[in-house]
Amino acid sequence: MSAESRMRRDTAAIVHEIQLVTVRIDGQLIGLPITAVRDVFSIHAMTPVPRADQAVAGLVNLRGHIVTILDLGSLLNSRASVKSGDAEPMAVGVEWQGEVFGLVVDEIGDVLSLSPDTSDAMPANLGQAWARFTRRVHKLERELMIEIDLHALLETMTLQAA
Amino acid sequence: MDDLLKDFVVETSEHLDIVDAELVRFERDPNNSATLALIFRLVHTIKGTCGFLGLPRLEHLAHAAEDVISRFRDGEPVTAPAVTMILKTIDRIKGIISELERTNAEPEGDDEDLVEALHALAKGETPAIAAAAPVESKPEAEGTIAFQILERPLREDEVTLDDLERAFRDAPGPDPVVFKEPEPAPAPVATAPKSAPKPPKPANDKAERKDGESDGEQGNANSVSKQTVRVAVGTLDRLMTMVSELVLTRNQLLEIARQRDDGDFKSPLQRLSHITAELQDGVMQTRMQPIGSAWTKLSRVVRDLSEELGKKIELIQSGAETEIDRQLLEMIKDPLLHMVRNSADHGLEMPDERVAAGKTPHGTIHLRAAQESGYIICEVSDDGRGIDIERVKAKAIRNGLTTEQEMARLSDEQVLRFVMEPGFSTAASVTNVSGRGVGMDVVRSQVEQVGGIVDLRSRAGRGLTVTIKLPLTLAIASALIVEAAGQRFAIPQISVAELVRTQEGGDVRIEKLNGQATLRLRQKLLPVVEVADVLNLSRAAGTASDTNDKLVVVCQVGGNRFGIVVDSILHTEEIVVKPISSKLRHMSVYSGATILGDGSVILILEPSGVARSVMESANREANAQNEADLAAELHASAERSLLLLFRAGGANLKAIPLSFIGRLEEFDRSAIEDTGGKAVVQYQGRLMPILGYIPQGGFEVDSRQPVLVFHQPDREIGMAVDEIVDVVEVAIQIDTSHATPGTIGATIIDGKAVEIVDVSELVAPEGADKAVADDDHIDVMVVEGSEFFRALFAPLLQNAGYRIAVVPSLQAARHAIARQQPSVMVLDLDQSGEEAFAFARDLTEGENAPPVIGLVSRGGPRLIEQGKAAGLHDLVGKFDRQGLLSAISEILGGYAMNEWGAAA
Repeated sequence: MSAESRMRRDTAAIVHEIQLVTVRIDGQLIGLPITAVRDVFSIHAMTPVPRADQAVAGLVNLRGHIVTILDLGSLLNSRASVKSGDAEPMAVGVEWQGEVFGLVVDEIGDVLSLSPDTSDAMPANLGQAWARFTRRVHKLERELMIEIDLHALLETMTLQAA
Repeated sequence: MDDLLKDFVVETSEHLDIVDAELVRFERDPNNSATLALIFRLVHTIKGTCGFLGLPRLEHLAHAAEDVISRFRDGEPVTAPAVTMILKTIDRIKGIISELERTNAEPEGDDEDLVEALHALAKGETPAIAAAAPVESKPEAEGTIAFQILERPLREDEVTLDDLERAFRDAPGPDPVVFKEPEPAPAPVATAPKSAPKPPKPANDKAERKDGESDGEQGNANSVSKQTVRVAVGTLDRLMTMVSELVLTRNQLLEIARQRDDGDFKSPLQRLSHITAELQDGVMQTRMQPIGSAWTKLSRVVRDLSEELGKKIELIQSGAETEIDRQLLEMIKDPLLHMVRNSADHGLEMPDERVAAGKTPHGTIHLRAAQESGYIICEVSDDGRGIDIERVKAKAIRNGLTTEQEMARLSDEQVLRFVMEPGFSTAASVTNVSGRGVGMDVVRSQVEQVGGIVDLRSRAGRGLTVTIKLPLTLAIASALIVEAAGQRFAIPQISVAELVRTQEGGDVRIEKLNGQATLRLRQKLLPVVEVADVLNLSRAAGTASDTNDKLVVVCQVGGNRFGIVVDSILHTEEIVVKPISSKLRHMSVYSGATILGDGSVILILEPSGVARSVMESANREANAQNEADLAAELHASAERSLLLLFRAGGANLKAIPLSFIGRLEEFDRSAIEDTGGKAVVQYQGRLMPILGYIPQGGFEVDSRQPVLVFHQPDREIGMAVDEIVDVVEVAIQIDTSHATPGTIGATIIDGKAVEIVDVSELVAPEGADKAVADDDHIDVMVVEGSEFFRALFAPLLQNAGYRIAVVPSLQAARHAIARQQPSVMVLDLDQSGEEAFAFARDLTEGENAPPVIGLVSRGGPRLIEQGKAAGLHDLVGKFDRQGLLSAISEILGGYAMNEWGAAA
C-alpha cells in the first residue's frame, strides 16, 4: 500500500526531473539532454571537409558509420575550429533527424538530475548565438550551467547550410 | 486488414502491368491461347481478391472486363476497340488502386460508363440474348463451364478455402443496376468457380495450377513466379548496408593480418574473406532486377501512342534480362519513358512519309540493354528522321546558348548535346505527347543524378539513338583514390576519361590563358582546375604549383571535358558510397563519403560540381573587381534590400523585407489546429498562432500550407500565405500614398505593383504600449527619414523591450534629445548623408553624448571609414535586424553589466 503510493510519488518526481549530460566547452559548463545523447567517443583520424561551414570540424569513422563532427564552440563563440594539435578530443554523439552528429567537447562530466525549478531563462545580455541555442540556465551550487536546445542548434546549422 | 490491403495493392499493380503488356502482345497475336489464359487468370484473380476484400468498384470493373476477355477465349475475334476498352478499364482500375493506396479506401465514383461499354462488347456479337444484364452475361460465358468441371476436385481438398469461396460468391455480381445487392446463386455459378479467389499469394498459385491443367502446354515464361518470397525493399537495403560494413571490416582485418604475418590467422581469414565476397555478390543479386521490368509499361505506351498519333510503331526489345540494381531501375523508368515518347512522337514519321522516304511504313523503336565493362548500357533507338542538326544549330544560337563563331567549331556530337539543355525543344509544334521543351534535359539530369551518362547519336533521315550508361549499382562504385595537399579524395571512375602526366616542354602541358590554367592535350584545350585551389587547401611547402610536372585526371561530364590536377594518384578501389551528412549536402563539390580499407573516411569528389565551382569562382572574381570600384559602391548604397515576394488573399504580389522574416516553413494542413477560432500549429515544441489562415476543405486538407514565421522574443508568430513567389533584391522606393490598412505602401518590382505588407503588428508584442510620453527618458532614439523604415524599426525595438522614440529628421532629433536623453542614437545615413555625419560629429563631441549607431543600406570600406571619423559607435545594415539589436544591446547591456560589476 504505502509502497505503491511511494512509487507513485517517485514517478511524479522523475517526470519532473531533467537528466543532463554535462560537458565543458571553452570553460563553460553545458548540459545536453540525456535522451538525445547516444554515446561518447574520442575523435581520431578525423577527415576535414574543405570549404564546409566552419562549425563542421570533419568526418570520422565511428564503428563503420560516417559521423559528422560539429564544433559547438565555434557555433556559440565563433572561436577557431578544433585545433588539429589536440591529441584526441572527446565528442558526444547525438542523434538528430535520423542522423548521428558528434559534438566536440573539451571535457565530459557527470550526468545530473535536475528539476526545472533550479533553472532560469536566459539572461538578456548574452550574445545572440547563445540566446538562440539555450533552453534554460541551471543555477548549480558552484556555477551556472547552460542547457542547450539541441534541436534549435542543429536546425540552425541546416538553415545556414541551405 | 491493412497488411492484406497493402499486399493486395502491391500485387495487383504488378498484375496490371503484366496484363497491360500481355494485352498488347495478344492483340497482335490473337491465336496465342497461352497469352489469353494468362490475361484471363490475372484479371480473374484481381476480381476475386477484390470481392474478398470488399472492394465493390474494383470488383465490378474487373468482372466486366473478365466477361469480355472470356469472349475472346470462346473464340470471338479480337478487335482493337475491345482491347482499347479493356486497357481503359485497366487504367481505371489502376487509378482506383492508387487512390486506395493513398487513403486505404475505395474512392467514390461511378464506373457505369465503362461497365456498360464492356457489357455491350461482351454481348455485341451475340444478339440472340437481349434480356436483363446479369443473366445474359452468363450464358455467354460458356467457356467457363469447362472450369466448373475442373473446379470440383479442388474445392473438395481445399476445405480451408470455403470461407473465401463464400465471400467470393456473396460478392456483387455483374449486374450494373443492383450491384450492391448480393447476387443469388445463378450469377456465380457461371463465373465464380473458375478459381478459388484467395488473399494475395496463394490465389495465384491456385489459379496457376488450375489453369495450367486446363491449358496444358502453357509456357512458364510469364507466369507469376512461384518460388519467390516477397521481401520489403527496406530489408534488402539494410542487408546491403550491413554487407558493405562487413566488406570494410574484412578489408581492415586483411590489412592487419598482412602486417602481423600470423600463420594461425591466415586460413580462417581467407575463408572469411571468401564468404564475405560471396555474400556480397548474393546480396547484390537480390537487389538486381531485369531491366525488362522497366520496359513492360513501354509496350503499352507505344501501343497507345501509335493509335493516338496514327503511326504504325513496332517495339523491339533485346537484352531485357540484363540485370540492374532496383534502385537505379526505379530512377531510370521516367527517362526511358521520355525517350520512347520522343522517338514515337518526333522521331518516327507518318506512314506515308516513311514510304516516300523509301522505308517500311511501320516505324521501329528498339530497346536494347547490355552489360559492358562494369556498366549497364541501355539504348533507345528509332529508325525515324533523326535530329536535324541545322535546326539545332539555329535554335541554339537563337536561344543564346552559343554564338555562330563557336558553333562553327563544334562537332556534330557536341551540337546534338544542345538538345539536352533546359528548355530546348526542336519540335516545330507542341503535341499532346511531347514537345513542351521539358524532355531531354530532364532525361539528362535524372540520369546524371544516378551517376550515369547520356549520349545521342543521330543519323539524318535514318534515326536517332540515345544511349544511357549507368553504373551497376548505386551503393558500390569504382573510384580513383587521389591525393591533393595531403588529403585523399575519391573520384568516381565513371566520369574519368583518362589520366595524363604533364611535363615542362612536353607534348602535354599546362598553359595559362588569362590567368586560367588550360591543358593542351592532343591539340585540344581543356580547362584545368587544381583540387587544392577549388577546396582552398593550403598546400604543403615544397609542392610548388608552378612546376609543370603534374598529374591531371581528365574528366568527362556530359559534353564537357576538363582536367582536375592532383598531387598523386594512389590506386583504384571499390568504394561503398555513403550519403553525405545533411549538413554538407548543399556542397556541390562532394557527392558522398566513404570508408577505405584502412578505416579512414574520405570524401568523394563530384567532378561536375568541381567544374561548376570553378566557373563560379571565376565569376566571383569578376564581381569582386567591379565592387572594388568606389563609385559602384556608393551607387549601391541606395536603398537596396532583399524582399520576399508572395501571394496571399488575391492575385496581387505582396512583399515583406526578408530580414524581418524569421523563417519560411510549410506545415501539413492537417497539423494546423483550431483553438478558439485561432489557427495554431505545434512548432518547435510550442504552439504558434497562424494569422490569415483559411481552413480548406476537400482535397486541400492534405496539402501543405506555406507560412512565414516571425520571431518575437518570447514566441513565434506565423502568417499564412498562398504562395511564396520569389526573393528579389531591389532598390525600394515606396509610395506611401497608397498605404491601406495592413500595408505600408506600394512599390514597383519588374514593372509590377507590389504591396509592402505592414509587419509591425507581427513583430510587435500584442497590446504593447507604444506611446512614450514626450519628456520621458528613453533608451533609443531613431532618426529615420523613410516612413517605411520608421514603421519597421519602432515595433522591432519596442519588441526587444526598449523605450524608444522615432523622429523623422535631424532637426526633430535635436529638439528631442535634450528632453528625452536617449541612451543610444540610431541615425539613418542614407537619406541625410553628409548632414548626418556632421550631426553625429557634433553629438559625439558633446558631454554625456549617447553613442551613435549609423544605419546604411549597404556598407562599404569608405562608409565605414567616414563613420569612424564621425565618431560613430557602430555601422549597421538597415535590414540587418539582428545586427541592430545586438549593437544596441552591446551598448545598453554593457552599461547594465558595469552596474552589476559595481554592485558585486
